[in-house]
Amino acid sequence: MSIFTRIIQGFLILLPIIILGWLGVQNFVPSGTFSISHSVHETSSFMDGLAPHDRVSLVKKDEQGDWMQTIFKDPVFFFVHPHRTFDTVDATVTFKNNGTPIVEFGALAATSPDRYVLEPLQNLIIDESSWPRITDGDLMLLQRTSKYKTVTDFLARPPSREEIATYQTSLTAPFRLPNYTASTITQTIPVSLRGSVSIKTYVKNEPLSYVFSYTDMNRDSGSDPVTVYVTDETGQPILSLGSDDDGNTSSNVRGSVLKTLTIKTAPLPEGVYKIDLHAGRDIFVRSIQTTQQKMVFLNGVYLGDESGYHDTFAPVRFWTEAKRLSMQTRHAESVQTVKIGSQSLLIPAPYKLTTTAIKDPGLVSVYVTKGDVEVVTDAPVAFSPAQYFRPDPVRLLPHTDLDQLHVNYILARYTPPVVKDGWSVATVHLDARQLWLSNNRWKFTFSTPEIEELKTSVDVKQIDLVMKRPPVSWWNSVFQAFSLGSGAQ
Amino acid sequence: MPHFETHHQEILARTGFFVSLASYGLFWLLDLIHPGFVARFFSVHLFLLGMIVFGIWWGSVVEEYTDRPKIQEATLVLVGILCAVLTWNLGEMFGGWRLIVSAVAFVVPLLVLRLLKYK
Repeated sequence: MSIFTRIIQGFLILLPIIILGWLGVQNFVPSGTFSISHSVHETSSFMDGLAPHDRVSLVKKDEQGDWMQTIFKDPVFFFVHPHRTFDTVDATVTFKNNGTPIVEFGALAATSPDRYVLEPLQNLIIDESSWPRITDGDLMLLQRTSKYKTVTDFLARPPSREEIATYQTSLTAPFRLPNYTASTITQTIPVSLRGSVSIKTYVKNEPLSYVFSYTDMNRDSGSDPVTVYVTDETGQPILSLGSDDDGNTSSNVRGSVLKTLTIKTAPLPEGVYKIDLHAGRDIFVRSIQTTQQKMVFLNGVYLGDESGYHDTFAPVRFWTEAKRLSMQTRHAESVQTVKIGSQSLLIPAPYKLTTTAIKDPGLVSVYVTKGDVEVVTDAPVAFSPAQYFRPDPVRLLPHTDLDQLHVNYILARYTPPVVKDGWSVATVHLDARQLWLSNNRWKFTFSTPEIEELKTSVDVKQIDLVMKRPPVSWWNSVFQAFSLGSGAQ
Repeated sequence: MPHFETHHQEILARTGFFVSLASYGLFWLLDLIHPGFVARFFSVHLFLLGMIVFGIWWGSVVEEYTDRPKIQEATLVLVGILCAVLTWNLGEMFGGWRLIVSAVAFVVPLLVLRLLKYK
């Protein structure tokens, strides 16, 4: 037999062994780093296409011949199917922003309610601002007139909170209410709130005391547990407690008796505390009793109907400093005109989200006469003016009017994208351990608030992922993969 | 360009065929044990393509072979059952013809062998 025949025969035998080794490296990732490079026109077993289809264009070539897909509605998402567990994901997005003020990228971190981790790709408000800026690492400070020399100086001696807008960061100095004194008088807020709520409340060396009275209206099938998490102003958990379903998991619309969930702690140090009540849409908080004097609801409220609880809906009034307010109802009976300060807002039809800019300065009252209204705001909401306080600075949003709000400083955790061959390239770092992995997939999303309203768009060319985990030995990898069964480990 | 004698070609084709066959079985098994192990990166059926290519090559250059009719018949029955089961499982579209089409699928391997052997 000739030497050539032997060589080729050896190569034929060796080839599948080499392929097996290569597959082993790809699957077990012994180096700890796995990369996916994905152009929008390619199919991938790791990454799905952008969805839903009514929010993105078809994949097409631009004038330069580059493949791209255009986002013109918000939000747009896609799924990633990792084959292992990873600790971090660095996502590099190549895109062109056609005037969208804020473009963010992130992933689903929790459900019921959905919570996304979002990081900036581009903030045109900052990029196009003429204000002088100073940076310190990934922190950036923009000043209407230069006063601070360094970001550290600003953080150490910040101006009043009313003068500051933040983006993707918060102030390190804790919020304090001067002249606040604790009280033992219990206040009752008789309002129907549907589903989850997030509350911030102020405590000064007094017990945190809340009693949530709620009913499970059993309109959707499935169990409806209620869980409450309390965290302090540094984000550290203080307590968590929960209540099981009422025992009726059907959708027979039979409401439960009034149940209560009580938070009562020992006196807590002064500060702002956050209460997150996680519940499904069947849960209606019917009243809140508290000794805390300051209490606001974050990002708006869902005013529930009272069907099956009370015969008629008692009109609700709440107060907010929001400059933009959106409302929606799901019921034809709740179509109404809502009074917002000196303005009014018509909710014209079910499932029609209506948005208005609030022109009145300061705290504005909002009067809702019919229930089942979802309210989304860009500032906290309180059910009495005395309870209102604003623990966080103004968040920089696409519609934020810095002049109207007398904002003189923008503090941002933001690095502008770099431009390569006419495309913007930005990398987002995510903690993969915090991402919601369901059915062996992560849900990634592009957040482009107000993109449709502003008639702007974002062209996406490429999404590259670099996923990392600690490097492991070959033997451990093989053992883990085959002893723990199929699917990503 | 080296010249290969027919005998050497037969050796290479046979090696390629059996390596493809073994690889096909092994990689398919790995994909069953750990879904996506192979399929995430390429189609495991590439090895089937290799089997077909090397099989045709081997068949065209083989000079001498031993006919083993019993092994052939046993293989035909197994492959026939496989074809019939696949046709039945995937053949909902055939409606009332499903059973007959599955029966025909059972005898297809026999017909193919007859055509190859007695051409």
